[in-house]
Amino acid sequence: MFYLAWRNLAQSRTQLSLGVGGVALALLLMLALDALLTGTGENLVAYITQSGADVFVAQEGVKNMHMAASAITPRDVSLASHADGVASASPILYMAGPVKAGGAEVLSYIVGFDPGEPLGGPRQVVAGTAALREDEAMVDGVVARGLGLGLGDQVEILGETFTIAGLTEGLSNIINSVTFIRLQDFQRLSGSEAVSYALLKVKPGYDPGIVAAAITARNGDDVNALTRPDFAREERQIIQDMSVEVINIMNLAGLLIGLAVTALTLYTSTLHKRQEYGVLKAIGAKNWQLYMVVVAQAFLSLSLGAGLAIGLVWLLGLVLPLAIPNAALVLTGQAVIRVGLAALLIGVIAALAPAWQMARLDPASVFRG
Amino acid sequence: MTYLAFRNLFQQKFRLALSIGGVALAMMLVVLLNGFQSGIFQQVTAYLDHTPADVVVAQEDVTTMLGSTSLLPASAADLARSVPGIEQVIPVVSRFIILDIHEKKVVAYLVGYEPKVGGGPWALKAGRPPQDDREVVVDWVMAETHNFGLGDTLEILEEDFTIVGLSEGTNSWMASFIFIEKRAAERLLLTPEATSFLFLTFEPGTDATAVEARLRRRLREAEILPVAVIKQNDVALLVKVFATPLRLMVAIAFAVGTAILGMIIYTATVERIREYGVLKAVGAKNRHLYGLVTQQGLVIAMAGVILGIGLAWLAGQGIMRAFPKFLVILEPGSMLTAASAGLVMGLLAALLPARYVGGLDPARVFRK
Repeated sequence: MFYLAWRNLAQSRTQLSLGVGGVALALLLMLALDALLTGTGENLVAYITQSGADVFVAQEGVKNMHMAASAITPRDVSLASHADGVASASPILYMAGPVKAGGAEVLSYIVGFDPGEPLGGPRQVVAGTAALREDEAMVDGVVARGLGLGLGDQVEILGETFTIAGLTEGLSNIINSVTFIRLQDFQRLSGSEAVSYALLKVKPGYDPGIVAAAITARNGDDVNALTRPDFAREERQIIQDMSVEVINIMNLAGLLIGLAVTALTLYTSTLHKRQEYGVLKAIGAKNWQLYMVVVAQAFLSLSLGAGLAIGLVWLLGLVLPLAIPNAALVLTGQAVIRVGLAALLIGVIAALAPAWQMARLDPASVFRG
Repeated sequence: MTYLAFRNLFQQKFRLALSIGGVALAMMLVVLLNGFQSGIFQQVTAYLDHTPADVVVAQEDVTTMLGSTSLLPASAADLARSVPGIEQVIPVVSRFIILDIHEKKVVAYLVGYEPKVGGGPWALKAGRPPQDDREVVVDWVMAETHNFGLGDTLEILEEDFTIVGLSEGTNSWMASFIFIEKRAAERLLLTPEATSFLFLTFEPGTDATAVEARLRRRLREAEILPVAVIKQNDVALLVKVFATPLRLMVAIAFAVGTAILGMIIYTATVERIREYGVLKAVGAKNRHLYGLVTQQGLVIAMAGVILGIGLAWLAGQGIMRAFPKFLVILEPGSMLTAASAGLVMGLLAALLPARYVGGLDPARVFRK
């Protein structure tokens, strides 16, 4: 059956390409947006996951960095640093704001960190230094290239001029870049000693979960402490919860279009092979046997389409960042399973029309022409 | 040739229906995605559209309301009021916050305002504005989505607020506006006496340029922009956010439609190869056959576009009914773009079959 199905499909290479290509593109609709949002989510949590911190301390009720407002006092940081199991507590200030240079403006998350502290600054330095001095900044390398900037050039942040002393990478996404300045500069510009978060390093042998719970319990009226994985999960959830309906709509659209393409391919192929199917019926083939040929065609067509769709996502993942800085596509197992199930559903439904054709086929009428 | 094109297409009605359906679905997606974008742009400027202001004062270098955190000093409102020519000053404290509701992350834009001055919700579906610092007005769509009603409690940054009003027109796919008293927002955000934005209205008949100049002298380290510019910048920010996923999806949908159309036209052409051979043998030129093939492509494409626009309207209505936070606006411009895309799709899909018939040798067809 599979051999016959493959021969039917492959007889016209052009039609096979168009049919498989159409299915692949329909499944790509389901995969691409999901991959883009997952990639954006991973970029969003890059600062958290690469920070080196074991625990994040935020204002009470705040469990996120993006689109969140957190303010804790130096006393909160001090209390956290003296908690049992804490090796160090590094404060940071964090705010969304524009970074301007040469008439252009880029939206950025501005992180004020203390270069003398073990945590808070960027872990990847592609050029220059993270040991910032007064009125020095580190900007994202991709953004810098886009604005034609390099080490020693000047940018305007929070209304003040800073000199680029270092370049980072891997922390920005398609919406925002991440820019680092000294915590002391940030506090001077904001006119306050409050900080946004404290990044804690836990001593060896201590469980970060237990340390975080103890800090929250001790000064839970003011702060909220989460382990790095928990904080990253809360952050990823923003993108997931915001986009769930849009993803579902895309999935439905992809499913329906995939159904149309596959049904069209199978119906057309069956129509072409009417005479052959008529002969098979005349020499004793049962309807269900012919139906299995159609199902096998659907399976082959959809498998090739799904494989091509996954390949296209991988290719897009390579090409898109070249055109759009900091764009990332990440394909998850869950998305692949979802596409696999969709392909199965499409195959079953799309094979119905040809099955109906087969059932109605009168071998004698085929020979009459 | 046109008659022949129609005869070719209508010979297999089921197949024709499937192909028009496939193209229509692809075009529906293109129109719907653009409709999403138009809806978001309208939702995003709703607050500034309904808050009386000629200019907006923000922290220095802040040129959007939604893209950056803005903090003005406590004296900014009084300084602005003291400028001759200013009729009204509306101070607000505002920021994006994340609410945890039923274990889901809900993005909200918190606006702390002075109910006696303005800057709060412009239309209430039910209830009233807040009258103390423990009351909140939430968007009715957000309330309905999460099963909140008047009198219920909403936790904002670990403080409980009673819902006293449900606002209208304050919702978007990304975030809903929620309104509390300014002093409550200052307390929550730990920014006593601070202000994020000032919305200033000029006295009627005043020389706006002169008033702006006076404002810049009084508020030296602030950004003073016409409200139209802030709105434009907010929209531009969203264009940047949505441009990549939108263009990607539209490009894929366009490619799918072209593939479907290409397949059907190619198949129809191959099936009729003898007839095309006969036509060529009796003197039909290649351009006649190209025209025949192209017409078939255009007919299916245009039928698909018209059906697709209809499906997009239906789907948009369905989506807005099922998920009221979405606003889908089908603009004439985007439908024109879809029609043009359909035209291009039809022409592209006809290329391969046109090449096929162009290279056709009539004698070879008869040998088969």
